[in-house]
Amino acid sequence: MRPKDNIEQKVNRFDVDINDQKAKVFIESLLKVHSKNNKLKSDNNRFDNWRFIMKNGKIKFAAVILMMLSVMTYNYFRTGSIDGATIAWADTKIAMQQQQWLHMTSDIENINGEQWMNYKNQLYYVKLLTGKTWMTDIVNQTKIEYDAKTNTLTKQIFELGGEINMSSPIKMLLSMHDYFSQAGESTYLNEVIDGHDVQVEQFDLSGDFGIAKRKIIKMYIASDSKLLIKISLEDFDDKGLLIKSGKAILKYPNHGPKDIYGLGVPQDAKTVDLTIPNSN
Amino acid sequence: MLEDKILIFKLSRGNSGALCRIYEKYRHYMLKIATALLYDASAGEDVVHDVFMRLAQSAESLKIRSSLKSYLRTCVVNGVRNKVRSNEVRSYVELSKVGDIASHERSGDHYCIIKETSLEIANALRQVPFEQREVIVLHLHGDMKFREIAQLQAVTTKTIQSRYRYGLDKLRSILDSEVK
Repeated sequence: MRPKDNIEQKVNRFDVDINDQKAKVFIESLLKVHSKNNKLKSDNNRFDNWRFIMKNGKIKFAAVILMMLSVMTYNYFRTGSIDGATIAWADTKIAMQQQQWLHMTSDIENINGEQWMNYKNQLYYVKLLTGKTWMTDIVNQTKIEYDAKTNTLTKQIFELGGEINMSSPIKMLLSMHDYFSQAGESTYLNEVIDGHDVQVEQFDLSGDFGIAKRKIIKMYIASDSKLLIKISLEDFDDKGLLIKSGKAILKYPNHGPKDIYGLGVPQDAKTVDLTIPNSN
Repeated sequence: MLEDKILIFKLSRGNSGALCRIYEKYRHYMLKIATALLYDASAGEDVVHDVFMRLAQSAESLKIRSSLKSYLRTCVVNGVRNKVRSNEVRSYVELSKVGDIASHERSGDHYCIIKETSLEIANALRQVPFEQREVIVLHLHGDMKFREIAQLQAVTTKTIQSRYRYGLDKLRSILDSEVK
């Protein structure tokens, strides 16, 4: 008698093929139906992502910074154009393209800790103060997470979706900038940090962001290197009192962790590989 | 998932890009479920296309309380049930004729076809009572827990577990007899 799992595996292997040409034809007819029923202005769509993010109380404060970095990093990977953005952004993108690594230290809520991004190999390492440690391989779409309690490394498939891939990262970058520009006043300031001249783009946003009614977001771009070196966020309530603040410091080292063990994971950690189908 | 929430939001604002993205993201998942439940790629395709057409028509008034994935899956299941109720699906096919159907479907340049390697299991699934087949397909292909399927079929979780077990036993015996 065959084991039960064998039959489950057989059912699991059931699959279909889709004819891409026919799918294209279907999408065209789908869009026709949609446009007939669509009475809303499409002009607003460009700003929808960021309006949603900023107004959604459930989305953590830290998400804003993660989104900015995701957009910038993903934009780098896709090497698209950012026509329409400010000159500073265009220069920043070019400058970031020349970097091998990005290192970020932040003191913001659930991303309190260190992160490294290896641009060349598209690897992303995170070590938070809570002990949570993981790495993501964007090319191979895998994620390895370390659980200190069980001293176990779990490798699993990472879906390149969610907060990184939102139809078009380039549009998101533009829309982010545009939304900030539209939603509030954007001012440019010059500051000096650690003896270096820095250009600061400050967005002062007013609106209903959950408890917060006003947000000040600052992006610090080094005048000499044109690199984004700091992001800061401040939330204020309806009385103008500061209720939350945080910052992320960005550096661009030549080297980073070689692997997840470079983040301090013990060499004797057990490994569970969930990317291999169960062969029982 | 944040992307899905944004897609729903954008779709409700009339964004056609969001509709395309939802289609690209979930069409394969939905077609697999529909086709496995119906053993008919054309019927499965009809169900999935209907779901997307309704989505396109009602995008503005769309209110999805669950996740987008479970919403689409429920739409597919409802569409399949309607087809089964109205007897619009192909009846059981002898294994010897499976190849004929497959080649017929392939010759017509169809939108969706069952993979050659899946024909045997698809035909065996077709012979399992619908309630059991639904549990098997939704659990193994729809990523649904027994508890969730129990809610969908309005029975207890134990009943779902029994249906799953009996369904697998039936599948095993069908496949065993076909081998002999």
